[in-house]
Parts: sequence; structure tokens; C-alpha cells
Amino acid sequence: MGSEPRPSPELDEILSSRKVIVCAGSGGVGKTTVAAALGVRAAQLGARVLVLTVDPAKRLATALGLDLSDDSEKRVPGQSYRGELFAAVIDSRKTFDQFIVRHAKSKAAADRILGNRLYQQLSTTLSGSQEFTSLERLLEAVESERYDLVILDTPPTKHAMDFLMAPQRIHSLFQDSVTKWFIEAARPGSGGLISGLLSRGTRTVLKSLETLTGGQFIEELIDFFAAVRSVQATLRDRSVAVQKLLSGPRTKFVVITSFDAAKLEEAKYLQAALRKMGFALEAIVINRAFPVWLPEGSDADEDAAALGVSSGPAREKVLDFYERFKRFHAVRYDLYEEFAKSARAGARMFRLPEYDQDVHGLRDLERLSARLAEGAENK
Amino acid sequence: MGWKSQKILFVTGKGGVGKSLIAAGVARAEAARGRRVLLAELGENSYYKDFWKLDGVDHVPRPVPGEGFDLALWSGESCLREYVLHYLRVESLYRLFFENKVMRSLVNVAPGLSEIAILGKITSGIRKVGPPLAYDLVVVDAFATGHALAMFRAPRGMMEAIRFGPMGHHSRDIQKVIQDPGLTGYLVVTLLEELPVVETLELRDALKAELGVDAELAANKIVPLPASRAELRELRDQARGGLKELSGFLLGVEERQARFLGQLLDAGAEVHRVPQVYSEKPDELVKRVASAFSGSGADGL
Repeated sequence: MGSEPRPSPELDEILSSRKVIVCAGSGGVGKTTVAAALGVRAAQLGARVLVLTVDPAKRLATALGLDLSDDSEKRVPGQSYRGELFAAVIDSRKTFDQFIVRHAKSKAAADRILGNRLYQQLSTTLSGSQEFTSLERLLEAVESERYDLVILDTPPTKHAMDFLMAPQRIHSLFQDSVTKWFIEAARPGSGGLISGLLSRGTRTVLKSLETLTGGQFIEELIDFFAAVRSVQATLRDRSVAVQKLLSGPRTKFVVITSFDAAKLEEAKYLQAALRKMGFALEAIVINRAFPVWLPEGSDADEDAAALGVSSGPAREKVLDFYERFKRFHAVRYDLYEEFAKSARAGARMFRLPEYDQDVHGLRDLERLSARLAEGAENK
Repeated sequence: MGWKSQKILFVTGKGGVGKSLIAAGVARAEAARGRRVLLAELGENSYYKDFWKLDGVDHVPRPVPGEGFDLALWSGESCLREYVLHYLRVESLYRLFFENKVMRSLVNVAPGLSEIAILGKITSGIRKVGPPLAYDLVVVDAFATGHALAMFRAPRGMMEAIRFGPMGHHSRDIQKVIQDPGLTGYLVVTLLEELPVVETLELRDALKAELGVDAELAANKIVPLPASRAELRELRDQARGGLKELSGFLLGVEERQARFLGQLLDAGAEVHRVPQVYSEKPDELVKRVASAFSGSGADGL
């Protein structure tokens, strides 16, 4: 809404980085929603913000004014903030194709890659390709200088860590030595595939591989690597640029996690890994930590009798449920406190309640961002 | 329930719906019936290691203390290693293979190779290839929906790309196993919420269209309602404070659960209802989920 938001020192400091916020976490924890809520807040504070989402829920996409079949950057409708909020869906296949077209040496070279059957499968299924394309899209958005802040919602992975490993994986895949090897192997006049030019060890390996998979498979691979060579230098430069951006002083990481013992444990690993890789972890958001109506912490010894007078037969049953429900959340609160203690160094901790309804519109995102703005639990 | 006689059960679903817990519950329920069960998780990092606070989870199965079944972690690389070693038979050659940078790249880039290797491992007991896998049932805590579907599609893709040689031959065998309802079952886990339900029904349709199999569904974390709708309404209208809020909350939950459960049933699927377990203790969680699959009639509430 148009009115000035109440200041929230902890949250606003994170958002004031004014370049990049990466929302990391494993699948199904509500990353996209939190990324969008952060975007709302930053726009309220006056920034021109782009939220890059991967695979948003239909209602959330609608709330952001996005059409899932169109990956262009759009102004979110229905807003009146001091700044301005934009959003886009990342289309992995399209981003990859555009990357090839833009960076291949010629149209023929681009067509050769785009037409390769291996490429067609790889651009969507290769492990790390979604991560690669979302980082490429992030880099493009930052370089365009159209935004003060770009918030990246990362692709869903089993483990939050997978995202961090992806760029290196892609990079090492297309190392010069690897592609060169394949091109040597395929060079006309070199005696064909298994030529005398190759070292004996490599020859043995290739022969073994041929036994396992068949020659046809190897030929496809060689063709692929030969074609990819024309964009290889760019691939390398881009991954260096991405690493530089991510580890630079104006990029901040927010880890989003759901609330159970194993997920919190995973968040701990992620936190350590981020630090080790030199990335700035600013905040941890624990999503759906407690039902919105249940008093936080919920360890108060509320007398059941004080809950209200009622004469229905269901009263005892519901009260019994309430007691169990409360005990469960009290145990979870203990879990959280333990986690908070061990994770204290540096990162701010936010907990979000579980709402009864999905996010339906921009107002729901505003409510969520207001909740975040109520402040961190550790100062 | 199909998998009572099947040898492989794939458990998949959208990220965050509780696949791993459901897989563990099914493994426990089947082990309790006297079957030799292996719970296999896929990928490079283990979920169960933290869940059960184990020292380590490895490619080679090891028993899970107190659960009555074994656990293994299978990645594309670990399965491919085993496969290559099995076929090349010479240890030094296999080392050469995996210490070669080019080969590592190739393994990563070759589409479907990791997936085929993993499926090859899962089906190796039935196909009687490779090291023996002495289990009556392998419960696979598989990848999330999209990646799982890519894995199920890999053998056909490989068959079409490579008609000859051992890889083509294996792909055909694997394909036969995964589309044989007498051998392989599919369980898609969902929450009774919009996004997971949509994704679940799409996956079920894709499995039917592409493999000809009928996936069963598990609706996870169903909040057990302590009172009827009418009773809850009355409480909401009459009570105050927490009791009033709780009744209102439960009414909302009841409406949502009924709506999405209806969508699953309308699709003609067999739906297993798994209650929300109000505990964070692994043993308690798995036991409760197992009881939802043990067919003993207990609803686990």
C-alpha cells in the first residue's frame, strides 16, 4: 500500500544491499513466496526491484501478474510503493537457447549446437542446468542496470547445497582440456576416434566406454563437445563473473527452511557451506513455524477452562486436541531454540507462521512482508 | 495394495511433502510383515543420516537400528562405478576410468546415463545382474516429481538413441521391469494443498501415459479432526479465546482437506491417508506412518 512502512532495522538493513539477494533452500519450503515478500518490502522502501522466480505456484504467479509461458520482466500490477516491483519467471530452456545464440561465433555454430540431440536433452535435464540458467538470468538482470535490487529464487533441489555446487559442475564440464580432448579424438586424419594421438590410458578408457555404450553414443558426444567449443570461452567467463557477483560485497544470501528436525540440520550445513565459500549469509527464515493463531512459543500454562465456556459435546475432544497440539509446538519451539543457539553467529533469524490459506494476491504478500518486518528474533 | 507382492516401490512427490518419511513408514510396515526390505535413497546426500542420527549412509546397505530394514544411498556415480566395475572386471581399468577427467565430464554430461545406472541398480536383483541384492522389496525414496519422471523416461530415451551394444540391451530390460505392475509399484506423496495436488495428478497421468502404470497416492499430514463439522461450528460460535480460534482453524482445515482429497479421488486414484503426526521423534514418526500402511485398520491418530 502507498503508506510508508514502519521501519524495521534488521530486515531493512538486509534489503538495503541494493544489488542481489539469493534465496536458498531445499524444495517445498516456500522460497518463492518469501522471495516475493522480500521484494514487496524492498519496493516499499523505495527500491526498483526485480524478483526472479522459478516455478511459482499458480496463485502466486497470478498475484505477481505473471504468465507462466512468458519469461519477460513485468511490473507487478496493483502496487503503489515508493519504489517499484517487477517479477519474471525463468524459463530454463529458453535462457539456455538464447545464451547459445548470443555467444556462438556464427549462426551456423549456434544452429549446430541447438540441433544436437544431446544438447536438446542437456539444456533441461543436465544436473545443474537449471541452476546455470537462473544464474545467467541473474547476471543479465544485474548487468542491465535496470534494477537497484535483484532477488533470485533458486531452483528446487533435494538438498539446498546442490545449488551452490552447480556452477562449478557446469564449469568443470566444459573445461578447455575436456573439449579439446574430444576434438582431438574426432579430428579428421587423426586416425578417427581411437587414434594414435591419444595417450594409451585414454584410449583404453574410450575403448571400454565404447564397449559399454556403443560407438553411436560416443559419436554424438564428440559432436556435442566439438559444437560447444565455440561458446566455451564465454561459458568460462560467465561462470567467473557469476562467482564474483555472488561472493561480492553487494550480494546477500537468505536461507529459507521448513520446520522439522532434519531440515534444520540441513540448514546448519548450508550455513557452514555458505561461509566456507565466502558468501554472505544474512538471514535464516523458518517458514510455517507455527499456526498463525497459536501464541508464539506457546509454553504458557494456559488453563483450558480459560479458553471459553461452551456446552457442546465436542468441547472435551477439541480441548484434548488443543493440549496435544500445544505440546507438539512446545517441543518444536525447543528444537528451534537449540537451532538458534548453534546458528547464532552472524545471521538474523526470522520465523513465519503458517497461514490458513495460500497466498492469493499482493495483499497477502504485503501481510507476509509486514510479518517479516516485525523483526528478527536475535538482534 | 499392489506392492504387497511387488519387488520395487518408487516413492516420489513434490519437494517438501514428506516423501522420505512415507518411504520409511512403508519400509517399516513391510518389514513387519516379515519381508526383507531395503530402503534406498537416491542422490549424493542422505536425508536419513540426520533423521536417524546415523554415523553414515553408504552405497552398501546397512541395517537401521531398531527399524527392521536396511538402508543404502545410491547416486548416479556410485551406481555407475559398480556397473563399470562389474563389466570391466579389472580394478585398474576401472580406476583409470574414474580418475580420468574427461570420463568424469562425460558421465556428467551424457543424458540419462546416471539415471540408467541408478535404475539398473534398483532393478538388478530382479534382472539377476551385478552383485546380489537379497531383498524381497526395495523401497526407493526417489527424486522429486520432475527429476523422477526424467529418470523413468531415461531407459526409453536410451533405447531409442542406442539400439545396439550392452547399454541398449540393459535399457530394454530395465524398461520391462519398471512398467511391469507385477514387479514395480509407484506411490506419489502429496499434501492436501493446491500445488502438490496439481503436480501429483500430472505425474500420475504421465506415468499412466508413458509407462502404462497406475500410481497410488498418499495424502500426507492430514490433520486428524477431533470433532465433526457441526460440532466445530458450534464451538467456533460459542467459545472464546484459543478454543474459538482453534475451532475456526480446524474448520478451515477440514474444508481444505475435503476439497483436495475429493480431487484426488475424482481422478480415480487409490489414496492412502496418512495423518499428521504430532511428534518430532523419528521412531514415533515412522511407527505412526507405518501403521497407516499396515492395513491393520488402525488409523494412527
